[in-house]
Amino acid sequence: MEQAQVSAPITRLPREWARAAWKFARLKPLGALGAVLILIAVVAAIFPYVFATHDPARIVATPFTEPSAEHLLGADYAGRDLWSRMVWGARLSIMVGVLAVFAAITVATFLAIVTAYYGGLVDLLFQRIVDTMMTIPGLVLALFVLVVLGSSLNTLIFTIAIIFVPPQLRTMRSAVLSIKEMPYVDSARAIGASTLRIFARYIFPQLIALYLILGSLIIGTAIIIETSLTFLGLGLPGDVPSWGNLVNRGVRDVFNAGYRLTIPPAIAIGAAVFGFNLLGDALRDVLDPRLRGSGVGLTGRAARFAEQIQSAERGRPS
Amino acid sequence: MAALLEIKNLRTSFFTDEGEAKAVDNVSYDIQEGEFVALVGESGCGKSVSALSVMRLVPFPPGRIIGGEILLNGRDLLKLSEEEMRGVRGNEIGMVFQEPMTSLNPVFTIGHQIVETIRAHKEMDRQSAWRRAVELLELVGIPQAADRMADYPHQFSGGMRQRVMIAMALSCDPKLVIADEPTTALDVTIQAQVLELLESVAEQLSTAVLLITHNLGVVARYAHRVNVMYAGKIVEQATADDIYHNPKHPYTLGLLQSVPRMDRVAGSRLPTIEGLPPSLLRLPGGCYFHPRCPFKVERCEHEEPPAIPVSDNHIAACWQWQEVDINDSTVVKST
Repeated sequence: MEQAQVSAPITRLPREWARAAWKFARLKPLGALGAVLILIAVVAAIFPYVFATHDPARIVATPFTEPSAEHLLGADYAGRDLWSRMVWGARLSIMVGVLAVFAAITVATFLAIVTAYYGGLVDLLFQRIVDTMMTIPGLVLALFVLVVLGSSLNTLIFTIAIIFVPPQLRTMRSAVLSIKEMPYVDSARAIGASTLRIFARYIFPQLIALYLILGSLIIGTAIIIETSLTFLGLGLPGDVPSWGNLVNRGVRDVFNAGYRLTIPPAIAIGAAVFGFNLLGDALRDVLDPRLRGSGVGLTGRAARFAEQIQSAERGRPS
Repeated sequence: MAALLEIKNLRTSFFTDEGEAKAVDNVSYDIQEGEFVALVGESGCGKSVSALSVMRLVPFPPGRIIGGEILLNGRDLLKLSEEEMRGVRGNEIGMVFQEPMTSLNPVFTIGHQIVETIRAHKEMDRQSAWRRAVELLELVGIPQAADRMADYPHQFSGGMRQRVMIAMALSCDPKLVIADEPTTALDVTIQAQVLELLESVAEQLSTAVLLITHNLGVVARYAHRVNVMYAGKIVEQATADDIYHNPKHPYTLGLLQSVPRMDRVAGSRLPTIEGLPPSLLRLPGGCYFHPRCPFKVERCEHEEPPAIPVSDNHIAACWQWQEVDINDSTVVKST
C-alpha cells in the first residue's frame, strides 16, 4: 500500500510537468520565448558537434571566405569556420555563466542561512565583510583576481562568482530572516531537529524559488561579464572560440571583412542574455509575485559592474 | 511518588534595552505521571515562556533562563548539553503549538514529517515508522489516515492540522505533552473536539499534559490541577475543583467572575477586572496585583506575599486570602 502511494506521484510527474509548462507558456508568452532561446543555446552548448559543420579549431577555408552553403557564416582571419566557432562558443559562454552563477548563489545561500539563522555577532561580522567587498568596484576586483590567479576558464568562473556572491548573499539573507521566524521552525526545534536538519529541511526548501529566480536573472549578466572580460582581453585566451573572443576578433578584422564576423556572435550573446532575462522575469512573477518591482536581479554591484563594462567598452579604441 | 516534571524556582528573563523583564519569576510547579495540569493566565503573564523554558527553547538573545531547576524524572534539563536536550525534545516531551496553520513544514507531506520525527528519535525502519504514523493519524481521528499521509499541510483544515500536530507530538511516546494554547486559532466548535481528543489520547497513552490557556472554561472541563499565573509569578495553585469553588486569590476570583455567563441579563456589559496587567519592566512594589485588587491593605503595597498554604494541595500568594470568598466578594467591575 505504501508502495502505491510513493510511486503514484512519480508516474504522474511528466504529465504534470508538461501541463505546468503549457500553463506557464500561456500565462507568460515572453517567458516562454526566453525559455526557447535558452533551450536553443543550451542544446548547442551540450551537443555542439551535432550542429557545427566543421572543427572550430582547424583551418578549413581561405581567410575571410564569404558566407556560402559550405561555410554558413564564412571564415575568420585564419580561415576557421565562424558558424562552427559560434556553436562551440555557446558551450563556453553558457558553461561559464551557469557555473559561475550556480557557484555564487549556492555559496551565497549557504552563508545567508548560517549568518541569518545564528544572527548576532556572526551576522554582523559577515555583513560588514559583504559591505567591504561591495565597496570595491567589480571591474577592479575582477582585474585583481584575474591578474593574481592568471586568466583561464576556471579563474574566470571563480572571478565572476566572487562578484556575484555579496549582493546575492544580501537578498538570500533577508529571505532567511523572515523564514526563520516562521512557527514551523520553532516546532522543528521542539521536535528535536538538529540545526543542520533545520537548515536543510525547513529553511532551504523555502529558498528554492528565490534561488531559481535569482539564478536565471543573473546568468544573463554573468554571460555579459564573461564576454566583456574576454573582449577586454582579460578572460579566455584569444584563440578560444568564446563569443566574447569572436566579437573581439571580428572588430579587429572589420576592415577586411566588414561587420560580417562581429554581428553573428554579438547576436548570439544578445539572444542568450535576452532569453535568460525574459525567463527570469517570468519566473519571478510566477513563483514569487512579491518580488515584482523590487529590482531583484541586476542589483548593487552587478548593475554597477555592467555599467563599468559598458563605459569601458565605449572608451576602448577599435 | 516522585513527580514526572518538577519545576523549582524557575527564573527566565528577557534582557531588553529598557531593562530586565522577568517573564518567569521564581515559579515552581510539578506534574505527576499521566496528570492533566493547566497553566492559566492572561497574555504576557509568562505562561508560554515557562513552557518554552522547559523545552529550553526560549529565544536567546534576549531571553535567558537565569535560575532554578527543571527536573524530568529527577534529571535536571537545565544541566543537559544541547545535544542531549535534542534527545529530550520531541522524544520525552512533545509540544503542540498555538498556530496549527503555520506550525507544519509547508513543503513536505504530513506523513513524511511524522515519519521523520519518529526516525529522528527511534531506531525504526521506514516501513514501520510509516505504519506507526498511520496509526497515530487514526488515533487522532483523521479519516482515511493512510491516504492522507501523502497530503501537504495546506490540504488540511485548521482543526485537522492541530490533530496532525498532536499526532506528531505523541509520535515518540513522550511522557509529557506541552500544549501551548492549542485551540486559540480554531473555531469554537473545533476547540472542544481538539481538547477532547487531547484528553482521551493522553489518557490512552498515559501521557501527562501541561495545558497552557487563558480560557477558564477549558480548564474546568479537563484539568486535574491548575496553576494561575500573574505577571511572571504563580499566584494560586490548587485542584480544578478548589479553583472553581474556593479560589483564595483575588486574581483567580476576578478571572472566574469575568467569564461570560449564559444567565446574565442580555445586553449588560461583560464584567472585567479593572486596570491592566503591569508591564514586566515596571512592576509595582509589594504584591504585583495590588493596584487592581479590591482587597488590598497597606501591607500589600510593600511586602510581597509568599506562597501561603491554604489547605492541602492549595497554595495562594495573597495576604488577604481569608477575605476572598467566591460567594460574597467581587473583584470585577460591571455596569
